[in-house]
Amino acid sequence: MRTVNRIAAVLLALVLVAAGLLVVVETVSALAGHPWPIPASWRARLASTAVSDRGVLITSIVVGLVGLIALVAQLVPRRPQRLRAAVEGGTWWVTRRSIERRSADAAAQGAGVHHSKVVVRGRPEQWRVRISGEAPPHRFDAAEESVRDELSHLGAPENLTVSRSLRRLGRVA
Amino acid sequence: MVRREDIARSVADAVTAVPGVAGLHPGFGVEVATHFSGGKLVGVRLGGEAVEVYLTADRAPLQAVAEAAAEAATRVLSAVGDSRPVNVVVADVVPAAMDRRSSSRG
Repeated sequence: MRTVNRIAAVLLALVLVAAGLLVVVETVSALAGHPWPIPASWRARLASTAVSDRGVLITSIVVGLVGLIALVAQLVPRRPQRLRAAVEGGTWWVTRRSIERRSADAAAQGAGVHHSKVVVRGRPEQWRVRISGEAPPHRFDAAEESVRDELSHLGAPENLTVSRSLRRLGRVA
Repeated sequence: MVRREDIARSVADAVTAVPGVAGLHPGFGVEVATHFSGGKLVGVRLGGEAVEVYLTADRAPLQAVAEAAAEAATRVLSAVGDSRPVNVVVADVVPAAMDRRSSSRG
């Protein structure tokens, strides 16, 4: 999301800079008596378009909606990139990406979970972990145990919450 | 006066000498680095209220590695009169670290 934000910000900045330059050039050239670069026909149309014009209204509504969507998208809390690990031993952090990848591997290797996936949410000091994937039902507990064991070695706090949404592995004919 | 790049290099050397630290890590997104005239040192950020060290671990449990790395960095900083806290971030874990742990338990 950070990359998307940066690209969007750069594009918006470029558009604003271009528009600003256009206004400056047009204003100076108009004051000099030779309006440029906006064509005379465009200028006449812009000057005669009322705020109540249908095109202006529709454009305003669309721009307003896009702005609202962008605002809501930015206000939605995101998962932190790094999580505070065992607090008693001092302040240190571990990246969420590492935790998720290593825990998913632990579920796969330790309990034979297929397509294992681990998602970590919650506040930096209070982890909420969800395990998903496919496994035989009798391996569900082993999967959770493997993930918990891995998390403890990755510095997870003791009060973490682990939930699982494991699907029953289809019987192979 | 000790140069900024020398401090960063000393911190990096001390941290990478810690058993369990496979190397420094640039982080994700904005690169974690100390910039100076003529170059940069990736994995150590000296600016700000706390010094940040991003590393790749190749040994578990991570807590021991992170604490040792923090102590090593703090020692270097204390030697030059810098009392800022050190934030250690384990940015990546070498899979072999977990495999070794598993085999040592078995």
